[in-house]
Amino acid sequence: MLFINGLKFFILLCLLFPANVLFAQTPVPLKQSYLFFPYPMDRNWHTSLGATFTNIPDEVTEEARPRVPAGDLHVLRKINNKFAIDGRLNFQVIQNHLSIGPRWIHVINDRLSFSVGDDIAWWFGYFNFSSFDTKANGWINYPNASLGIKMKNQILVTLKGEAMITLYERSTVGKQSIAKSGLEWNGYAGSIMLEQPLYKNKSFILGFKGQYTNFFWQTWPLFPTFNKTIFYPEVIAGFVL
Amino acid sequence: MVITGSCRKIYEAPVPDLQWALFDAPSSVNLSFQSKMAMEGVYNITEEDGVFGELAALKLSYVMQGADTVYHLSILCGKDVSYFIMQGKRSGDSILLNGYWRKMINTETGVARMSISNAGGAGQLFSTTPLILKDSIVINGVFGYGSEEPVSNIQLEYDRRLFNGNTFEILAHRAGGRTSDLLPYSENSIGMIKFASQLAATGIEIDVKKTKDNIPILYHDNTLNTRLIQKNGLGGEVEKYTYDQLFTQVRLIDGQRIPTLREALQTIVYETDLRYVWLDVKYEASFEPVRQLQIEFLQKASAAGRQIEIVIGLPTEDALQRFKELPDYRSVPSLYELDLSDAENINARVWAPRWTLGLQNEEVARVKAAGKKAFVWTLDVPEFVENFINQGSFDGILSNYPSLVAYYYYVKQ
Repeated sequence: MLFINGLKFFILLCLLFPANVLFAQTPVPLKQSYLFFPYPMDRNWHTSLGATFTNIPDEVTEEARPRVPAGDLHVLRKINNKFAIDGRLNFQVIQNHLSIGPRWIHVINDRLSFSVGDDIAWWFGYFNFSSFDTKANGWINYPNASLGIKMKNQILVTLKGEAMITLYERSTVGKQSIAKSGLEWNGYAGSIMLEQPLYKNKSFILGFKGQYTNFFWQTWPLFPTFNKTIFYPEVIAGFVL
Repeated sequence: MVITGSCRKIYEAPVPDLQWALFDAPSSVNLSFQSKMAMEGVYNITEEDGVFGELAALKLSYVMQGADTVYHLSILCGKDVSYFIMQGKRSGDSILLNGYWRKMINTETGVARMSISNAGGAGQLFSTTPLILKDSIVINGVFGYGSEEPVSNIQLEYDRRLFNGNTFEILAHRAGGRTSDLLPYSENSIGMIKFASQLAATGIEIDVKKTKDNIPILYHDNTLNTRLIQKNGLGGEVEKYTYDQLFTQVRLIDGQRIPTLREALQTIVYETDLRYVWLDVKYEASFEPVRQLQIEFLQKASAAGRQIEIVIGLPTEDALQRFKELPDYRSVPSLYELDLSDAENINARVWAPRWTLGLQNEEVARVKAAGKKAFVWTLDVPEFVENFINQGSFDGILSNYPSLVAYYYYVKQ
């Protein structure tokens, strides 16, 4: 319930943003780089490289407990002080997830800022070994909003909420393919991200993401059929380059 | 975010209370086997919200309860892997059907009450030689959600006979479905074995482990865990426990005991109408104890007039090597899951590749040409089930959704 209430608060915050605009302040450029923190960028590019570690629950995998991290390349491109393009690639070689979307950024005061965005993601997987001759891909939409809190000691805290909406899915087994299209609510996710300078202008990212969804792209080879929302906890770690 | 975990919905799909005064009244009497058999067929569904799709296959099954034979009429639907499980009685000049429905892709379930009036075909069904033609049976009824009184209307009209091609095996995974599928019984249990026919299974796959004292039991995982058993403080490998320890201290999620393979085969042969048994041997030791039970129960089935196939499943190359240690292994009924040429070398009766390799029509044709069978496992995705049945040539499909496999098979034209 706390999470849902938090999400409601967040939506309310987004609805009230015109009021915040009236009291907006001229942003002071930050010396450090960041990927998640919703704040105007002082450079054209921010890039991070790291990994995500997702726990896929037993109710999906049964006894098999895959613990394979996904590589995480995250890029932020400045458009202007209000807009940026957020691009991210999660890769496990045989299955990958690529997302891109605009981010509108607004600074509320010295401590608080927020952004709203809408990412479109394409995931694809390919298993052709042992007893598998399968491939799949799909499109997912992630409307999202982030609240940034500037802490002392240059620690940047970001609270992010996002919805997950499947747009398209296609699976192929041997020469047989099936496809589904149309909007389908998958679930939602919330995350807390910390970004802190490490040395010079390099930063370290550490975060936790909770996904509550009935489809998680890394589980596609299991061909889950039960329409059940499941909690997927994920740890995110990376270095801002 | 951690709090999110505590918001998790508890998933369950309990069988609703099936009390119906009219059905339970002394004036309602058992329906003859002949009448029930005559009801089998493909029906058109009329129901305004399209909850169950447009077509249904009605199939009869039975299970023994002591000296009594209990019949079930299963109505198998295509949408959302839904089904009804009903029992029938005669009430005056009408037929009453009482039971419940369930959707396997979620937790939706509820009561269903139906009837066939004399004008709707009951008269024909009561006759000694029923003549069943298109639209000659009309089943009217209501269904509800959860424990609510059923008020939503549904009508089924007889369209045609069930498809009946060459023998096709509808094989239920883990005796009927996984514990996570929220069926009324735990996977690999005696209750589930008896339930499998109600899901229209013609056979079952069961997982065989052995205890510390070498008794073959039905259990899937390597360890005792709360996915399969009630929390009791015990854990670790199941094979480190004696059968007595498991018998006295362990209960499956639904409260049943872990059955021995002997109990399971006894149930299959004497209490069900199942005709195919796939023993998925998951332990790493000699196959001899399982082989001895296979011999014993094939003989018992034959003596009881039952035509049952019991095959020893070999899921790995290691299992294949141990199988070859059996005397005269080429004459032992077996099923091999990997390479087709290895299946041929051991003279396996069944070659059973994983479904994720596709239809493999050429390989299946090669198997059939040799007089053997080809099954595929474990196929649950509805669209692929339909494709495999209509475009493939396998002799059977192993699924957690046997009712769906049965639906697509029986509505074929």
